[in-house]
Amino acid sequence: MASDQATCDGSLSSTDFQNAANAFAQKWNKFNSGFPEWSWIDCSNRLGFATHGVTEGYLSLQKVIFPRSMEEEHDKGSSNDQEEPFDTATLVQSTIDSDNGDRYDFHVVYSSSYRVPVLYFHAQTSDGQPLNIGEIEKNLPSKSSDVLMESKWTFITQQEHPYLNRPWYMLHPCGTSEWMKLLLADHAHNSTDRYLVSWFTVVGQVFGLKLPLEMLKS
Amino acid sequence: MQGGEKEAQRYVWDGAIPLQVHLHDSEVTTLPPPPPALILAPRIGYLPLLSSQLKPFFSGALPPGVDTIWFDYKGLPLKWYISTGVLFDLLCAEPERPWNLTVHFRGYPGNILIPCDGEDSVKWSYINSLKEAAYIIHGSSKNVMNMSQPDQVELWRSVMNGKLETYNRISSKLKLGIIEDDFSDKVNPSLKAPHTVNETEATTTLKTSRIPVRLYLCNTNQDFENLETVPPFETWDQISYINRPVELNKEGKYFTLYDAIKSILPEFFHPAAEEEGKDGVIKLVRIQGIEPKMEIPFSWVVNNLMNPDYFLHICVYINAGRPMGT
Amino acid sequence: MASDSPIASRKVVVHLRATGDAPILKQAKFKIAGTDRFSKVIDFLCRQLHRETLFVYVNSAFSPSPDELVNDLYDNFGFDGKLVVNYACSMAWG
Repeated sequence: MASDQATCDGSLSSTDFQNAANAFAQKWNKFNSGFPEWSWIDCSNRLGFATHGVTEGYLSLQKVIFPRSMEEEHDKGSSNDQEEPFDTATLVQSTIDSDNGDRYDFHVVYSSSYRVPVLYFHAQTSDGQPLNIGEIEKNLPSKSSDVLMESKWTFITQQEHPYLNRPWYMLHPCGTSEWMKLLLADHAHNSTDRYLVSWFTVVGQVFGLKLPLEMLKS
Repeated sequence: MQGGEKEAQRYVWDGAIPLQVHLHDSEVTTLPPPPPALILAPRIGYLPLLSSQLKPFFSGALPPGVDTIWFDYKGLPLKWYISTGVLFDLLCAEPERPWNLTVHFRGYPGNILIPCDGEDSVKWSYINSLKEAAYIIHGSSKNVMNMSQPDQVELWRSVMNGKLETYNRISSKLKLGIIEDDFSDKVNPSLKAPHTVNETEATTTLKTSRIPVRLYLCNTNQDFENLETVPPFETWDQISYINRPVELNKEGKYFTLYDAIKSILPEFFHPAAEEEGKDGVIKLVRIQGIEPKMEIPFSWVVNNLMNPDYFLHICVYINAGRPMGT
Repeated sequence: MASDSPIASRKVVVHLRATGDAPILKQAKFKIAGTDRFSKVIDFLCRQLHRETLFVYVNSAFSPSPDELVNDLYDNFGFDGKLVVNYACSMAWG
């Protein structure tokens, strides 16, 4: 339960998760004013009674729009383009052109098994049709589609959302504590507050989402 | 009591549920409709794996189209990634034999169920569950991820075909050493797990402090006297899963099934909660089709009744009095 | 060093630091145009170490987006005239 646990093995306790979530949402909402806001969804009553000592809830970011027009660019963009291997065009526009893009909802849910945050997401077209993995792939940077090809079953798969009881896409979490350990190595203090910021710089890259540099300064 | 395996584990692996499977009316194109299929479904298996037996049986009656198999019980689509035995324990408060299920080959309810692309999906669902268990026990999934390809295939086949010896041989390489079971001997010598010849290499008695547990909580919303009166579940919202490892204290305190469930659901053991109902809110605890005594050592339960994914799946019926929110 | 030249044309000194099981480079420091993107650093490392993927991060705190400008990273996180970039071999999802 100690807050400094995060520094040793890259994991987070369930109560620290809620603190980390609040710290992250506050920072995000301050520095990303053009984007939708992260909010905490409380589920402490989901079993029909209040739970003791365990955080029940998750962080939610809704209606992130990935422009549809990117598809063509993706098809044209060759992977050996050394100058620009990363598809900068997938950067998200949240408000513009929302009628003509795919809508993504992101949830950050704590896993008691892995003791790390896990990203779940759901994607649909502007008229509400859910996207399959092939369509989602078109919205992702080329590096992510490469990983998707190599690791069909261990990168992004549909899993049951722990709170919604419905299939959502999930980024597999078993490597998370390994790289989080590296990102927390030199920071004995405030590791809980920084945890999700550091985490998101890695997870966001899967979607071409990045954090403003001001947000990353300690 | 063969070498390296436990009698109870053998019972779990041999356990099967007699199914009477009906083709859904909307998919019947022949007159008379095909008779129901009678089939034994292994407890540790998964429903889509029955496809190779069911498909030939019903294929003649199906309309043209692409087959994607799924099942329902009294209208509730069944989650294929939950093993058949757990589904049965969960959805039939009073065991129904044979268990009457409806099979569909069309109209997959993708908004409720994770898509299933046949055996590969089931295999990876199992492997991912195993990885999660390994992580809980070891703090790393590497042993599972670094398994050789032939071992991975053989392990999966052993689960699919119920080959316990093969399973024990391959899974012992994962060193997911089961927890020490000191207490069973003291309490009741007949419970003693038969550690045998190959104890040293096969059952590495690691002292783990986190035990993989999936707890399924069915809220019946009403007091029931008999299990027969429990109404069928209409939606999965009436069932919650709690995926929370049980932390075993290392102080050597006698730790029972009661203690384990209390550690996951402390709110039911709160003095206030226990006063609520005459017999408390917990109505029924079922693991692998049996209703074990709550005083039984938890280590015995884990070592003998866990599923091949190293998770102990516990079904708990409660009456919390209020409807559950989502 | 870098700070004297006009921003547009300045070179940034990048110090590459291996962590974990990653091999150490013979030459750990090199100069790169500030107008280059961070992806150039990542590609350089992958080529040098003959790896498809690496976990590359800055300040032991975050993993910069590949399209970030080296100038921007240096201005925000540079220290002592250089930008320290860590790299490790493990980058698994699993």
